[in-house]
This record gives sequence, structure tokens and C-alpha cells, in this order.
Amino acid sequence: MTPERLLPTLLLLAWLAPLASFVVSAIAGSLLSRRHGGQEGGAVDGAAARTIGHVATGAIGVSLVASVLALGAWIAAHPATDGHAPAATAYAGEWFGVLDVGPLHVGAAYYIDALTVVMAVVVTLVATCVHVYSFGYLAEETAAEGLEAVADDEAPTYYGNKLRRAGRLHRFYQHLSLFCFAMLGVVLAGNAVMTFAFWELVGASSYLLIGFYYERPKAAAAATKAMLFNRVGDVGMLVGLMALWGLAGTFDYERLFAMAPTWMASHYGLATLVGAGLFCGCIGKSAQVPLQGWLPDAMAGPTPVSALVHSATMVAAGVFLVGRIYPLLTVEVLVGIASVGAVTLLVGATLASVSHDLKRVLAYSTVSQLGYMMLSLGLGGWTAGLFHLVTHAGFKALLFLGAGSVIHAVGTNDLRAMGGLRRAMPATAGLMLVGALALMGAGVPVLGLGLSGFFSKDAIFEYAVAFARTNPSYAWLFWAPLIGAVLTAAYITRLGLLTFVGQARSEKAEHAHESPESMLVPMAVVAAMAIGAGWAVPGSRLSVPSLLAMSAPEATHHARTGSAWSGVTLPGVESAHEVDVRAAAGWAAIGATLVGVTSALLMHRGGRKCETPAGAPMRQFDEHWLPSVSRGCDAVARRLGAFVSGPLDRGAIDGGLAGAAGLLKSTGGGLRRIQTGSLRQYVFFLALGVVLVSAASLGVALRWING
Amino acid sequence: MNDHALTLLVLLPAAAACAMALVPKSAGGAAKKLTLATTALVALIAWSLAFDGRAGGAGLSHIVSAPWIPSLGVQFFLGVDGVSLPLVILTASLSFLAALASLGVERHPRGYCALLLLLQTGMLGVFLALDFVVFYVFWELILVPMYLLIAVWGGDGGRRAALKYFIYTLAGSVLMLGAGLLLYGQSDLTRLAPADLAECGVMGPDAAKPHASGMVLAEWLASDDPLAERYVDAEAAGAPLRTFNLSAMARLARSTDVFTSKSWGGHNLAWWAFVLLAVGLAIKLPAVPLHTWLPDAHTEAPTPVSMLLAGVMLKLGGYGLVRIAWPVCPEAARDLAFVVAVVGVVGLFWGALAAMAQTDFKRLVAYSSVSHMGYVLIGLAAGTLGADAWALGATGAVFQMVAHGVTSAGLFFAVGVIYERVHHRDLNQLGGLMNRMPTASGLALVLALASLGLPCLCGFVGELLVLLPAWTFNPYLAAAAASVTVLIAAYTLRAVRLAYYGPEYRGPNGDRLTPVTPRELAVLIPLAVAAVVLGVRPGIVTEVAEPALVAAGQPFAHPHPNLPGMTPVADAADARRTTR
Repeated sequence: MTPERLLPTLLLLAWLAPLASFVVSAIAGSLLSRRHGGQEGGAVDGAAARTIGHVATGAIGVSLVASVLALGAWIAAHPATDGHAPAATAYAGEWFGVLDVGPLHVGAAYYIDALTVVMAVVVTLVATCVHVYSFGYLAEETAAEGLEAVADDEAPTYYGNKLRRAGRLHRFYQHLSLFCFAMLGVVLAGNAVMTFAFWELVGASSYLLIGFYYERPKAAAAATKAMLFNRVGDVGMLVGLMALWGLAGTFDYERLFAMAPTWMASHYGLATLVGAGLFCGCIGKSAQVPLQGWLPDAMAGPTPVSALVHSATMVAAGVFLVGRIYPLLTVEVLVGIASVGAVTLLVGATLASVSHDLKRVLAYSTVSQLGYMMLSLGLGGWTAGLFHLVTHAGFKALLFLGAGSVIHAVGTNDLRAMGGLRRAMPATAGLMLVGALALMGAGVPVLGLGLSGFFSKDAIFEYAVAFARTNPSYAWLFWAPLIGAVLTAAYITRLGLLTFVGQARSEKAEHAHESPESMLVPMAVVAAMAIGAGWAVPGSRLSVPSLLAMSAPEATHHARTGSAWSGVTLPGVESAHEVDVRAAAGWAAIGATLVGVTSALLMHRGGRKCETPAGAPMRQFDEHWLPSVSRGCDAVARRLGAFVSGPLDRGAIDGGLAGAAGLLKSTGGGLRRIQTGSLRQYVFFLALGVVLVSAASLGVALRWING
Repeated sequence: MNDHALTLLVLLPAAAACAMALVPKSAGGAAKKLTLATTALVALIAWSLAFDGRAGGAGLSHIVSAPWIPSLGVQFFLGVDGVSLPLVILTASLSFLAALASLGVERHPRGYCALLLLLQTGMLGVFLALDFVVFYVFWELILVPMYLLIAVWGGDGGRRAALKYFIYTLAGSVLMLGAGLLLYGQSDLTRLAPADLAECGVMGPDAAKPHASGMVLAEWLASDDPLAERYVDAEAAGAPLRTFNLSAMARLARSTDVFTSKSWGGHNLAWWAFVLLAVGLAIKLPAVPLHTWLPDAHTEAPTPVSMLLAGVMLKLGGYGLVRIAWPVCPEAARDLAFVVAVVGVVGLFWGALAAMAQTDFKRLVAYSSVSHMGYVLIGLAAGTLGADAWALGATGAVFQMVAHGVTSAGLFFAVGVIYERVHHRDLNQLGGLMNRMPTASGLALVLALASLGLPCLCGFVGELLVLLPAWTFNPYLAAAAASVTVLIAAYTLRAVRLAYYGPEYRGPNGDRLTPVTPRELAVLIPLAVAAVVLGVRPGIVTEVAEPALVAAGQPFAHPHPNLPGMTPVADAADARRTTR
């Protein structure tokens, strides 16, 4: 089969396998829970739940195999070159139509280029690891009701005792399958409406997964918050879509990319609005400032979910989308994206440095890393930003799975209650160390050796350096990632120190045990990804960046200047790859990392001190002041709603109408008084009427006679 | 020949309602079963319309026409096309589900069933009527059963809410009647070409069939149809022949100038007729500020009546706009499109904000209906821009009506399921239902997500189709309409969180929280499935509705020189716009 037939077929299989698993588990789970014990609400038998889990894992396994085969087919069709080859043509087409109204056509379409194939492999690989890992992590969810039921500390009951409930492992895998289907839909989408549809669907599956512990008020609130924050961004995206429709009259990516240069010439302002609108959606989904607040709260979901949805894949969808619609973005939008990314990476890294919650540190780390990717894409570093997406998916998934292993062992997220765990959990500690090193970008610049993060971070710094050189007035876009790199190294060192080094600071930490193999093996797989995702295949030039570079948009090949702000020039590939730029970038990155590690070692005295300087006020800012903004918006909307449904609806409208009716009634009442029943009065009125009518007729007749 | 499927649709429920008088007073169960059987039969007939291959195109089918009041030219004229077919099926199906939901009614079951069936006759009649008088009669027929159902079988404030409903709706119908008489007074059948007369059904059902070219004017004139005799007389005297035929009115508006005679205030007659129609129908829709009857009526109505009230009743207003107001008064629709769109956007915000503040679950769903119907107005307003905009906007409006019919009926029933058990609907006292009744909660969650416009469920398609032309119409209004999606998500998810999530149920009557019964599942599951099917295969509605809408919207195909709002941004884009 030719690649243009083979690739869509393989990826369709990869896409639909999780859907099939979702449908099966949704139906089977409901039937089983009704049958069990003859009444609804009964638990699904533990073995049955595990079977559903196995079906879901099998399905995502199928997806993984199909995606890897698709990657192979892509590579076979596009032999590796020196990385500066002309853009490889994408395979675009449609599987089936869905909606045809007037000029609008929406279908399940695909747009397959190197980015699609790489993303599909990353998503399915991490997802498979998380599926396997969850069997160990959520083992207690197979419990039946009764004595061995799941006890939930965080769901307060009226009498203050622990809530006991049946396990629901099958629901977990059901939602996970839905998520994989939706995420692959975003990756494969060949038109903007399909992207938006699956974009919302990943949001919904994320809602369900964050709300997996829906008994916990915190989890229920966090799920709602995540959905609402995303919706705020999606309003911008909807506006972008509407403007795109007004501009182009099509949503099909292939056609849009072809006509983009035309409308950039004729409707530059509107094209900028389209790009800015679509990027608003990415701000929400990728937790960029100012919509970053939902992601730390989303950690209320089970940790494997945090690893898959809220670090490796879904939150990276915003970055992916910027990469996908890159040809539609004007220089002004790109500089805006870079600025948002720069602010975000600083905010995220700062707040990651102060939190005492293990998962919250990692969540803010994710926010910060997503900021790096946005920065890179905004500065013209298309390949670098998306390359960082891939490496980040590996090492952040590893860090989260490691965090899950620690939480599973210690039973708390609080870093202050940990310490010294390297002795009880050597494997977890070792794997987490790999993740931490990859995150800070450890490597040796001269030899060109390092973990995956080393290569991708270097690539980002190359663009930052090149951009700052051509645009000295925007030099802060170089300093921000540099300071961010110091903070990154510092917070991840702090995390490692407080968790694994020093002495155990709580009872539970003393008695911790290593996690089972079903959790360690998936961690080892993503660890391999965290280590090697930046390397080239030995004996060839084939690597993730060289693969991605094949599909780099035409616009990234040369420098570009904006129309509205003519002062800004985005560097092309060549200027970022100049030798002195590369050297400067490499030394800057590794220097910042070393500074960060050293300062963290000193500040936290090798793990004996938990607090970061200025930590308490920062946490207050993070946990109190930032959420109060969204709470305030909610309160204002509800006040307004109370006003609308109270004083306006009941008062003004109903009251006004009642007043009008009352007026009518009193008029009627006044007229009624004439009806006295007295014959004499009636005769009087009759006579009066006759006189008046006669007089009037007489008047009219006279006027008529007089002409 | 008349095809009596539609007559059967309309008369079967009425006949069953009359038959209730024969059911002995003690046999309440039999009355409910008879109702269930009747509605099931009606639903079957309605679904069969979709599958006999005749209905659903651009033209009318299954026409029934008979002289009714010959001296006024009133015909008993029923027919179905792509606009009415989805709504007829929705009505028939929801009526069946409402009858199923009514099996638990204990109070005067015979009277209840009779009224429910009469209500169904009225609703189906409105969707099928093609003569203004018939339309109006069925419209008024709905009023009394609904009033009694809310007043007698409703909650404590039922009588007050029912009276409010009655007065509002009656005011609306009076305005509508005024518009009908205005138009009648200027209409003239003799101005129409013979082919138009045939297609409008004036010459009887056979002539209206698409390939009935053999039936010519002469043949009709020679027949003993009283209308034909009056036509001959009118022709001879050179006098106008008035008509209430809705299709004929639309054609007169399109091809003649009978409705454009100058009238009061510098506007023409059609303009005033449009204002009367739009205000009258907007009460039913309901549009802000004429919506305040709705939350009260819903809060007090029994669950099955709420399902019909939200699922079908609100669509009557939207349907009237699509069927009468827009095609008969296209110039006025275009002239006032901006006002209509603003009312739609205000309604979106108004309903959504009000829903945010509710603690009564049912009142929240009621206000959400006010909000969702705003999209119908926006779609119709934006549709006046041109052929493409009309195809998108009007189809979106009709899809939104069907989708909202499914989700609102489902959500009202889900609230009813809770109320039946714990006898309150206070969101602050609910919670933890997900564990107490998982299946019902899961299905309610699906319906809630569909209602908030999640893609792949039915709420999204209408939104998308409406918003796309709205941008070209007026980008600010469109952006405002898009931003309401945040509020919609906020109140919906708040309700889900308060009712279904949380550790445990702490309100009153917690011991009565029994699992959902099979009968309740039989209502909830079809609605949830419909929400999914409509979301995944929206074509089953849009492909049926679009041709008929395009035919009805021909006046909008030629853009007006003075476009309201902004002009399309890239004119060249139209040329590039092809269906791939």
C-alpha cells in the first residue's frame, strides 16, 4: 500500500480502538453494576473491573502498535536528510463526512505530517504506560462494598467517619479510553472544527478524570474549575473560528494553509485576530497565564491521570495546536505567544519553587515547561518547541509516575512529611533522578551528550539568543528563559532533596515500601524515553528533531518581519543554527542549570530545610489570592443572576405588567360605577348620548353642506 | 387524494381523549395505559413519515386538504415538509415518553390523560397546519389543557403560575391573530401563477405533488371545489381572492407586492404584521423580556408536563417564526434582524445569568431554556444576510430546537426522578446522588454535557451553525453569543456538582433514595441516546430540514443592498467557498 493509503488506515485504527474500548466498558460497566446483587449501585466485581481494564489496555496497545507502524511508514516514505529539506507534503483527506449544511462541510478528516505521527506515538506510548501503571496504583479500586470497601479520607461525611464506597476501576479505564480517543482526534484532525470538537472532548474527559473522586468536594470543584477555565479560553477559540470562517469560508487545514499567504496580504488585521483567537484556546488548554490556575487544582485527580492528561498530552495540546496552525499565525501573534510563554514560564517556575505539595510542584513545573514551548514557537523555533513537547512528555510523565509511586507509599502529597525515601524506594528514587536530570537539561555541551531535555532546551535557547540578537529591545525574551532555567534546576533539586534525601520526617515515610513492578516497569519505559528521546538513531541522522523538521512550516525557514510592528524580526532556521549562537545558547543553558542546582543545595541545606526564601507569602499568593479572582468572577456572575431573576424578572417585568393590569382593573372599576342599576340615570345617559350624537351628526352634515 | 396519515396523527389523540369519558372512574390505570398505547401509535405513525420516502424534501408531502369555511377561503390544510418533520417526530416521541413518565400520576388520572392527549393534538396540529386559521385553532387548543395541567396537577403555586402562563400566551396569540388578519386582508390568490397555486396546495393535494404537472388550472376550475368557484368569480369581477394559506402567503410575499402597501408610521403592512407575529411568537419562545411566565410554569408543572412544555411548547414559537414570520415578511425580517439578534443575545445572557443564581434545580433548567432559545433568534436574524447565511442560520435554529427538545426534556425528567424520591429540588440540600443512583446520575450527566454544548453531543451543532453566519452579521454580537458558553458551562456544572457529586446525600427523605426503576430508565435512555446520535450524526436532521428551509428562504438569497451590521469581510471568499 502506498503511504497515502497506509498511514490514514493505520491511524484510523489507532484512533478508533480506544473508542471501541470506551463503548464496551461504558455498556458493560453499567450492565454489570446493575446485575451485581440484583440492585443498582452495587459494585462491579473486582475481576470484571480488571477485565475491563485489560480491554482498555489492549485497545491502547493496539493504538500504540498502529502508531509505531505509521511512524515507520512515514520514515520509509521520507528518508532522513540533513534537516533542512523542503517541507514534506502532508497527507490530507477525509475518512467520512459528518455535517453538510450550505457552504459548511465538516467531516472526520485527517492531516498527517511528521508532527501528527510523532504526536500519535508519544500519546499512545505514554498512555499505554499509564494504563499498565494504573493497575498497581489503583489496585484498591477493585474492592467491593462492605468491609473491604475503599475508604476515602478526603470526603468528609456528616458524622466525621471515613466515607466507604465500592471501587470503580472500570469507570477509570472507561474515562481513560475516552480521553485517548479524544486526544488522538485532536492529533489527527484535518479541519479546525474537528480540532475544536475533540479539543472540547478532551476537556470533558479531563473533567471526568479530575472528578474521578467525585465524593471529594475538592476534586468536584477542581473538575468544574478546569472545565470553566478551558471554556474561557475556548470562547476566544470560537471567535477565532468564526473569524476564520468569515475570512476563508473553509475549515480544512490543507486549503487554509494554501490560501493563508493570500489573506495575510489582503486582510492582515483579521488574520491577526484569527491567530489571537485560536491562541486563546491554547492559553486555556495549556494553562498559560492568566488561565494557569486550573492545572494545579487538577492534581486532585488520580496521579496516573496527572501524568497522562495533565502533563504529557492534553495540556500539551495547546502547544500542538499552535504548531499545527502555524502557517495561519502572523508575526504579531507569534510575538504575543512568545511573551505569554515567557511570563508563564517565570510564574510557573517561581510557584513551583515554594509549594509544599509534591504534585503541585510538578504541576507548576508543567505550566512552566509549557511556557518554554510556547516561547519557542513564538520566537520561530517551531521544531525546537515541538521537540521539547516530545521530550517533556517523557520526563514529566516519568516524574509524575514517580510521584505517584511515592504518594502510593507514603500516603500523602506533603513534601514536609517525606524525606530519606531513597533507602526504602531505591528504584523510584533512581528513576525520579533520571526525570529530574532530564527536566533540568543535564548534559555536557562540548561532547554533545546529555538526556533528552538537554537537547530540546538547548534548541529553545538557540532561538532565544538569535531573537535577542536581532531584536535587542526584546531582550527580555532571552532573560526570562534564562532565569527560568535557574529556577527550574532549583525547584527540581529541592523536590529531589526533600523527597529522597535526608531523614524521614514522618511515621509513614519511615515505613514506606517500594512500589510493585506493574508500576516500576512503565516508569522504566518512560525513563528510556526521557533519556533517549533527544538522540539520533545510531549510524543515521534520524532523530525526533530531524523528523519534525521535515514538516516545519515554510515560514520558519527564513527570517520574517511583522506588518504592524515592523520592529520585530523572527529569526529563521539559519540564524538560530549559527555556530556562535549555538555555543552561547549551550553555555547559557548549562550555566543557569548549575547555578540553580547549587543554590538549591545551599538553600535547603541538602534536604534538611523545607522552606524556600519568601515561600510563605508566595504560597499565600498562590493558594489564596489567585483563586480568589475566579471565585470573585463566580460571585459577581451569581449576584448578577440573582439581580436578573429577582428584581428584574419578578420586580420590573412582572411588577410592571401587574401594574398595567391593575391600571386596567381600576379603570374598569371606575367604569363599573356608572352601572348603578338606577333606571333614571340610564335614561339620563341615554338622552345625553342622543344629544351628543345628534349634535355631532349635525356638525358633520353642516360641514358637508358648506362644502 | 388526501393522505390521511396526518389526519390520523392529529385526530387519534383527540379521539382517545374523548374516549376517556367512557373509561370508568375507578379504572385510572386503564386510562393511563390507553394514553400510552395511543401515544405509542402516534409516535409510530410519525416515525413512519420519515421512512416512507416522501416527506423531507423541499416541498410539502402527505397533504390533507378539505374545504372548511369556504366563504372565507379557509381550508383544513395539513402537510409536512423538512422543517416540520423533525419537530413532528420530536413531539410524537416526547409525548410517548411523557405518557410513560405519567404512569405514576395518581390524581384524577382520567382527566389528566384526556388533557395530555388533547395537548398532543394541539401540538401536532400546529406543526402540521398550513392554513393560518387551522394553525391558530390548534395553537389555542394547547392553551386550555396546559393551563389545567399546571393548575390542577401542578405544585402549590400551580394556579397562579398557570394563570400567568395563560395570560401571557393568550396575549401572544391575540397579536398573532392580528397579524394573520392583516395579511389576510391584503392577500390575493388571483395574483399567483397557476404553478404556484398548485404547489401551495390550493388546488388540492394531488396538484401539490412534485410531478403533478398534468393537473392544470382549467381542470381545477372545472371541479366542484368551492374555492375554485370563488376563484372564477373573483377573476371575473377583478376582485381579490383572500387566503389564509400559509404557503400561498409566502409566495405572494415573494413574487407580488400585495403586502407592501404603505401603512401606519411609514412602514408597510408586512412590517407591522412581522412585528405582531414576532412579538406574539416570542412570548412562546420565550424571548426576553416576555419570558417570565416560563420559570414559574416549569417550577409548578408536573414532570411530564414540564418535559412537553420545554421539549415541544417552546419550539412552537420558533417554528412559527420559521414557518410564517420570516417567509411571509422577508423584508421586515431583514429590516429588523438586528433587533431580533440583540434580543437573542440578551436572552442568552439573561437566561444563563439567572440560571447561575437558582437553587431550585428545576428552575435552573427552566432558565437554561430561556438561554438556549436565544440561539434560535440569532440564527434566524443572521440568516437574513444571504443564501449561505440562511442555510446555516436557519438550519442551526431548527437543529437547536430539536436538540434542546431532547436535552431539556431529559433534564426535566432527571430532576423529576430526584423530586419523586426526596420531594424537594433544592440544590443546596442535594448531593452525593452519583453513588446512590449511579445509572440515573450518569445519564443525567450525559444530558447535562449535551446541554452545555459538548461536541459529539447534540448541543454543539446548533451553536456552531448559528455562530458562523452570526459573525458576518455582526461580529460583536457573535462574540457575545460565543462568550455565553462560559456561563452555560458554569451553571450546568454547578448543578451537576451540587446534585450528583459530593460525599453523601444530607437532605430530607434520604432513605427514599431508591435506585432508578426500569420505567424511568425507559424514558431516560432514549433521550440520552438521542443526544448522542444527534451529536454524532447531525445530518439526520440537517439533511431533512435544509432543503425545505432553503426553499422557504428564497427571499434571502438575494442580499439586500443595505445590509445591517457589517458586510462580509472577504468577498472573494465566497468564490472559494465550495463544498469539498
